[in-house]
Amino acid sequence: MITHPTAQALVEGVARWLPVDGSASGFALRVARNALEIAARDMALGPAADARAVERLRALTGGDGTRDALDRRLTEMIRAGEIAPDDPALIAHMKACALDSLAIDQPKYAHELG
Amino acid sequence: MSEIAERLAALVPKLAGDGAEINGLTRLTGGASMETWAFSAVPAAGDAIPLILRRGTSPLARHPGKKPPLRIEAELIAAAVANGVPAPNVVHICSEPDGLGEAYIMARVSGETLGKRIATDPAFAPARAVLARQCGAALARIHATPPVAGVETLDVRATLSGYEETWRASGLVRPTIEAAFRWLERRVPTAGALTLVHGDFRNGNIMVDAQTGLAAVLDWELAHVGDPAEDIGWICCNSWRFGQPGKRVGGFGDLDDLLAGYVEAGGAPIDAARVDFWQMLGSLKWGVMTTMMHARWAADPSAGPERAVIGRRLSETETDIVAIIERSAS
Repeated sequence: MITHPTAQALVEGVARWLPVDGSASGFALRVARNALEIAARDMALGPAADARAVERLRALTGGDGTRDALDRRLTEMIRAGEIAPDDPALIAHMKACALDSLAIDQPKYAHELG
Repeated sequence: MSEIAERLAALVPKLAGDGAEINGLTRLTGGASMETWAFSAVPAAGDAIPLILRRGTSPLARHPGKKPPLRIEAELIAAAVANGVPAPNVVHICSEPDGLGEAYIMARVSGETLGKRIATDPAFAPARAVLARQCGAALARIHATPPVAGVETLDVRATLSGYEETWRASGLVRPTIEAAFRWLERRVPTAGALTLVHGDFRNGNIMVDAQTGLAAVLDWELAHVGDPAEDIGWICCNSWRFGQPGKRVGGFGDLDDLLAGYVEAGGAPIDAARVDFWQMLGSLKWGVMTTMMHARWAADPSAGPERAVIGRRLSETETDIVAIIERSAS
């Protein structure tokens, strides 16, 4: 899941911006609706996606901890060359992460991942 | 009459003869450093000539994307046209007495630039049948154009480490982005001939006629000297396929056709791995940019959530990155 911004930051951002005098353009309102839809999908799908990622990350890194800590560990391993960028297990993990993130952030994005 | 209208009215007799006037002056785009205007020169006798004015609005156009000054941009377009590239004719490069600042005037070409229409509108089917090959031919001619003086040379390793520095500075932890940097690092192309590179050659920056295809190559402000494969990789990025991932070139055509058109027009053959490298770097660049947009929003959310939503588009580029890694590993 992407945390920049978090679901909470998206909702707060819309609430703080939303002009109550009706001055927002149709375009800006559509962007705001999109932001809220992303936040809603994040709340609905994010926890299960994180749980799945943690399972895969434990297997990949041999470590344990939160998703954030395990992502950090995996990133260090890739950076240090302990795991190759095209390692099949890493590819499978990145693919699952990408599809989970896309389902939250941009479910209509047409892509090449099978 | 606005100041720009007055200046153009004074200039236009030089371009279209004594007694010529201007009409239809409209601003098309205006940014922090650059604006584009459409207008027509109406000669004393004969048809109106549709024109575009490109003009810098800051005294010195400094930009982190390293834009060459407008004079270099205009000279480059003129050199490309002289070398057979379909691009708008540059009719005047402004100097001090014109009073328009850093600016130039070029022909206004008609056609479609909306990527989605070019990729999917049934009316553009005839164009799509020939467009990839035409793009290849246009790129071959761009890459064979002698760069004018002052065009910057970009080194691929410097570009790559610049993006990695920006990424590190963001403090974000994304294994897929890390994998993309390491994947690229292992595949930096061996030094080959450096050529003029358009730098932003993609669906959206080309003018297309529904029947005849490519009408003009636009948006030259990122032109530089570099690896010619960069332009081919960039138009292959899935971000510019407008919902048509099966059509690798801009969502409208196939890479084989583009490469065939490229070689046919005199381009040196480019292998698939080199295109993959630049396509990956293109996706990664866009991914890094989304995080920069988010950072701007986080620093000042008052402008509304648009840049926050763009921050979430990192999911798109990560998907594209994994697709390239997976394809090249199989």
